[in-house]
Amino acid sequence: MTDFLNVEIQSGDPISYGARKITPFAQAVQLKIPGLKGGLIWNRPVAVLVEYENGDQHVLPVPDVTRKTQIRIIGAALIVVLTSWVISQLMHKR
Amino acid sequence: MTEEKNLEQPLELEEPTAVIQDTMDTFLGAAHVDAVYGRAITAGASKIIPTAEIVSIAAFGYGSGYGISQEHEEEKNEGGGSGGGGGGRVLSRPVAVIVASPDGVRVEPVMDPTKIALAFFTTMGFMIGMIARMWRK
Repeated sequence: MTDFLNVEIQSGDPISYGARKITPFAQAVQLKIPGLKGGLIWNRPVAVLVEYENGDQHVLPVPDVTRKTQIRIIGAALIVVLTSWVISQLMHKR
Repeated sequence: MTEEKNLEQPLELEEPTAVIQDTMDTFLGAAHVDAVYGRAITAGASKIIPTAEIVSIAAFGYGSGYGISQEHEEEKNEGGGSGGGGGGRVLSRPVAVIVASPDGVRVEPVMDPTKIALAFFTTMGFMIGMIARMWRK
Protein backbone atom coordinates (compact mmCIF):
# COMPACT_ATOMS: atom_id res chain seq x y z
CA MET A 1 0.00 0.00 0.00
CA THR A 2 2.41 2.71 1.24
CA ASP A 3 5.85 2.74 2.82
CA PHE A 4 4.16 3.59 6.10
CA LEU A 5 1.43 0.94 6.03
CA ASN A 6 1.44 -2.38 4.25
CA VAL A 7 -1.42 -4.90 4.32
CA GLU A 8 -1.05 -8.22 2.54
CA ILE A 9 -2.67 -11.63 2.52
CA GLN A 10 -0.23 -14.51 2.30
CA SER A 11 -0.81 -18.18 1.66
CA GLY A 12 1.19 -20.90 3.35
CA ASP A 13 2.32 -24.29 2.17
CA PRO A 14 -0.61 -26.69 1.66
CA ILE A 15 -1.05 -29.38 4.31
CA SER A 16 -2.16 -32.77 3.01
CA TYR A 17 -4.76 -34.86 4.77
CA GLY A 18 -5.49 -37.96 2.77
CA ALA A 19 -6.53 -36.75 -0.66
CA ARG A 20 -7.49 -33.33 0.72
CA LYS A 21 -5.27 -30.27 0.68
CA ILE A 22 -5.58 -27.54 3.28
CA THR A 23 -4.02 -24.18 2.35
CA PRO A 24 -3.76 -21.61 5.16
CA PHE A 25 -4.13 -17.87 4.57
CA ALA A 26 -2.97 -15.09 6.90
CA GLN A 27 -3.26 -11.31 6.83
CA ALA A 28 -0.22 -9.31 7.86
CA VAL A 29 -0.43 -5.60 8.66
CA GLN A 30 2.96 -3.87 8.78
CA LEU A 31 3.28 -0.40 10.22
CA LYS A 32 6.65 1.30 9.81
CA ILE A 33 7.76 4.35 11.75
CA PRO A 34 9.50 6.80 9.39
CA GLY A 35 13.09 7.50 10.37
CA LEU A 36 13.23 4.64 12.80
CA LYS A 37 14.23 1.03 12.37
CA GLY A 38 11.40 -1.21 13.46
CA GLY A 39 7.66 -0.86 13.61
CA LEU A 40 4.62 -2.99 14.27
CA ILE A 41 3.51 -6.24 12.68
CA TRP A 42 0.02 -7.64 13.26
CA ASN A 43 -0.38 -11.06 11.72
CA ARG A 44 -3.59 -13.08 12.04
CA PRO A 45 -5.14 -16.16 10.46
CA VAL A 46 -7.92 -15.34 7.98
CA ALA A 47 -9.14 -18.54 6.36
CA VAL A 48 -8.21 -21.97 5.10
CA LEU A 49 -8.91 -23.29 1.63
CA VAL A 50 -9.89 -26.96 1.55
CA GLU A 51 -9.45 -28.74 -1.76
CA TYR A 52 -11.25 -32.07 -2.05
CA GLU A 53 -10.26 -35.05 -4.14
CA ASN A 54 -13.06 -34.37 -6.68
CA GLY A 55 -11.75 -30.85 -7.34
CA ASP A 56 -14.24 -29.04 -5.10
CA GLN A 57 -12.92 -26.10 -3.14
CA HIS A 58 -14.29 -24.80 0.13
CA VAL A 59 -13.17 -21.72 2.08
CA LEU A 60 -13.43 -21.94 5.86
CA PRO A 61 -13.04 -18.59 7.65
CA VAL A 62 -11.07 -18.57 10.90
CA PRO A 63 -13.21 -16.59 13.37
CA ASP A 64 -11.61 -14.65 16.24
CA VAL A 65 -14.24 -15.15 18.95
CA THR A 66 -12.22 -13.39 21.66
CA ARG A 67 -11.75 -10.23 19.54
CA LYS A 68 -15.43 -10.18 18.51
CA THR A 69 -16.54 -10.49 22.15
CA GLN A 70 -14.15 -7.70 23.22
CA ILE A 71 -15.53 -5.41 20.48
CA ARG A 72 -19.11 -6.21 21.54
CA ILE A 73 -18.33 -5.39 25.19
CA ILE A 74 -16.67 -2.07 24.26
CA GLY A 75 -19.46 -1.23 21.80
CA ALA A 76 -22.18 -1.95 24.40
CA ALA A 77 -20.35 0.20 26.97
CA LEU A 78 -20.06 3.10 24.50
CA ILE A 79 -23.79 2.88 23.67
CA VAL A 80 -24.67 2.89 27.40
CA VAL A 81 -22.39 5.89 28.05
CA LEU A 82 -23.74 7.84 25.04
CA THR A 83 -27.37 7.10 25.98
CA SER A 84 -26.66 8.14 29.54
CA TRP A 85 -25.03 11.36 28.29
CA VAL A 86 -28.04 12.20 26.09
CA ILE A 87 -30.47 11.54 28.99
CA SER A 88 -28.37 13.63 31.39
CA GLN A 89 -28.27 16.52 28.88
CA LEU A 90 -32.06 16.40 28.45
CA MET A 91 -32.58 16.26 32.24
CA HIS A 92 -30.31 19.28 32.81
CA LYS A 93 -32.14 21.34 30.13
CA ARG A 94 -35.43 20.81 31.95
CA MET B 1 42.95 -22.05 37.58
CA THR B 2 43.78 -18.92 35.69
CA GLU B 3 43.27 -18.18 32.04
CA GLU B 4 45.89 -16.39 30.05
CA LYS B 5 44.59 -13.94 27.53
CA ASN B 6 46.52 -13.15 24.42
CA LEU B 7 46.31 -9.39 24.36
CA GLU B 8 47.99 -9.13 20.99
CA GLN B 9 44.95 -10.63 19.31
CA PRO B 10 42.04 -8.22 19.09
CA LEU B 11 38.87 -9.22 20.90
CA GLU B 12 36.17 -10.34 18.50
CA LEU B 13 33.20 -8.17 19.20
CA GLU B 14 29.87 -8.68 17.50
CA GLU B 15 29.04 -5.83 15.17
CA PRO B 16 26.14 -3.76 16.52
CA THR B 17 24.62 -3.60 13.05
CA ALA B 18 24.68 -7.42 12.85
CA VAL B 19 22.83 -7.65 16.16
CA ILE B 20 20.25 -5.15 14.89
CA GLN B 21 19.92 -7.06 11.61
CA ASP B 22 19.37 -10.36 13.46
CA THR B 23 16.72 -8.76 15.65
CA MET B 24 15.09 -7.17 12.60
CA ASP B 25 15.00 -10.58 10.87
CA THR B 26 13.32 -12.10 13.93
CA PHE B 27 10.88 -9.17 14.02
CA LEU B 28 10.04 -9.46 10.31
CA GLY B 29 9.61 -13.22 10.71
CA ALA B 30 6.41 -12.45 12.61
CA ALA B 31 4.89 -11.23 9.33
CA HIS B 32 5.23 -14.65 7.70
CA VAL B 33 2.27 -17.01 7.41
CA ASP B 34 4.19 -19.78 9.21
CA ALA B 35 4.25 -17.62 12.35
CA VAL B 36 0.45 -17.76 12.50
CA TYR B 37 -0.15 -21.42 11.64
CA GLY B 38 1.59 -23.97 13.81
CA ARG B 39 2.94 -27.33 12.80
CA ALA B 40 0.20 -29.90 12.15
CA ILE B 41 -0.23 -32.40 14.99
CA THR B 42 -1.48 -35.89 14.25
CA ALA B 43 -3.87 -37.24 16.89
CA GLY B 44 -5.26 -40.63 15.98
CA ALA B 45 -6.96 -40.33 12.62
CA SER B 46 -7.18 -36.53 12.88
CA LYS B 47 -4.77 -33.75 12.07
CA ILE B 48 -4.83 -30.60 14.20
CA ILE B 49 -3.41 -27.25 13.07
CA PRO B 50 -3.17 -24.57 15.79
CA THR B 51 -3.51 -20.93 14.76
CA ALA B 52 -2.53 -17.79 16.66
CA GLU B 53 -2.55 -14.03 16.29
CA ILE B 54 0.90 -12.44 16.47
CA VAL B 55 1.62 -8.82 17.33
CA SER B 56 5.26 -7.82 17.11
CA ILE B 57 6.53 -4.38 18.10
CA ALA B 58 10.16 -3.34 17.79
CA ALA B 59 12.18 -0.15 17.49
CA PHE B 60 15.89 0.49 17.21
CA GLY B 61 18.02 3.57 17.00
CA TYR B 62 21.67 4.45 17.00
CA GLY B 63 23.85 7.44 16.57
CA SER B 64 27.42 8.64 16.66
CA GLY B 65 29.30 11.87 17.14
CA TYR B 66 32.77 13.32 16.81
CA GLY B 67 34.28 16.53 18.04
CA ILE B 68 37.53 18.51 18.39
CA SER B 69 38.25 20.82 21.28
CA GLN B 70 40.13 23.99 20.27
CA GLU B 71 40.49 25.55 23.69
CA HIS B 72 44.26 25.22 23.72
CA GLU B 73 46.14 25.96 20.51
CA GLU B 74 49.06 23.69 21.34
CA GLU B 75 47.01 20.77 22.59
CA LYS B 76 43.91 19.83 20.62
CA ASN B 77 41.61 17.25 22.09
CA GLU B 78 39.45 15.14 19.88
CA GLY B 79 37.08 12.33 20.50
CA GLY B 80 34.04 10.52 19.34
CA GLY B 81 31.52 8.00 20.37
CA SER B 82 28.56 6.04 19.25
CA GLY B 83 25.70 4.28 20.86
CA GLY B 84 22.43 2.63 20.17
CA GLY B 85 19.54 0.87 21.69
CA GLY B 86 16.27 -0.73 21.05
CA GLY B 87 13.45 -2.74 22.40
CA GLY B 88 10.55 -4.83 21.35
CA ARG B 89 7.96 -7.35 22.24
CA VAL B 90 6.14 -10.20 20.54
CA LEU B 91 2.64 -11.05 21.74
CA SER B 92 0.85 -14.21 20.74
CA ARG B 93 -2.72 -15.35 21.36
CA PRO B 94 -4.41 -18.56 20.21
CA VAL B 95 -7.31 -17.89 17.82
CA ALA B 96 -8.60 -21.22 16.57
CA VAL B 97 -7.76 -24.84 15.89
CA ILE B 98 -8.26 -26.43 12.47
CA VAL B 99 -9.30 -30.05 12.79
CA ALA B 100 -9.05 -32.35 9.79
CA SER B 101 -10.75 -35.67 10.47
CA PRO B 102 -12.30 -38.40 8.29
CA ASP B 103 -15.64 -36.54 8.78
CA GLY B 104 -14.28 -33.37 7.19
CA VAL B 105 -12.35 -30.21 7.95
CA ARG B 106 -13.70 -27.80 10.59
CA VAL B 107 -12.48 -24.73 12.45
CA GLU B 108 -12.87 -24.74 16.24
CA PRO B 109 -12.56 -21.21 17.71
CA VAL B 110 -10.52 -20.73 20.89
CA MET B 111 -11.97 -18.30 23.42
CA ASP B 112 -9.65 -16.54 25.86
CA PRO B 113 -11.74 -15.92 29.03
CA THR B 114 -8.97 -13.89 30.70
CA LYS B 115 -8.90 -11.33 27.87
CA ILE B 116 -12.70 -11.12 27.85
CA ALA B 117 -12.86 -10.69 31.65
CA LEU B 118 -10.20 -7.96 31.46
CA ALA B 119 -12.12 -6.15 28.71
CA PHE B 120 -15.37 -6.49 30.69
CA PHE B 121 -14.01 -5.11 33.97
CA THR B 122 -12.07 -2.31 32.24
CA THR B 123 -15.10 -1.13 30.27
CA MET B 124 -17.32 -1.48 33.37
CA GLY B 125 -14.93 0.76 35.30
CA PHE B 126 -14.85 3.28 32.45
CA MET B 127 -18.66 3.17 32.11
CA ILE B 128 -19.37 3.63 35.81
CA GLY B 129 -16.81 6.42 36.05
CA MET B 130 -18.23 8.30 33.06
CA ILE B 131 -21.88 7.92 34.16
CA ALA B 132 -21.07 9.00 37.73
CA ARG B 133 -19.26 12.09 36.39
CA MET B 134 -22.18 13.00 34.12
CA TRP B 135 -24.85 12.72 36.81
CA ARG B 136 -22.77 14.53 39.45
CA LYS B 137 -22.95 17.82 37.47
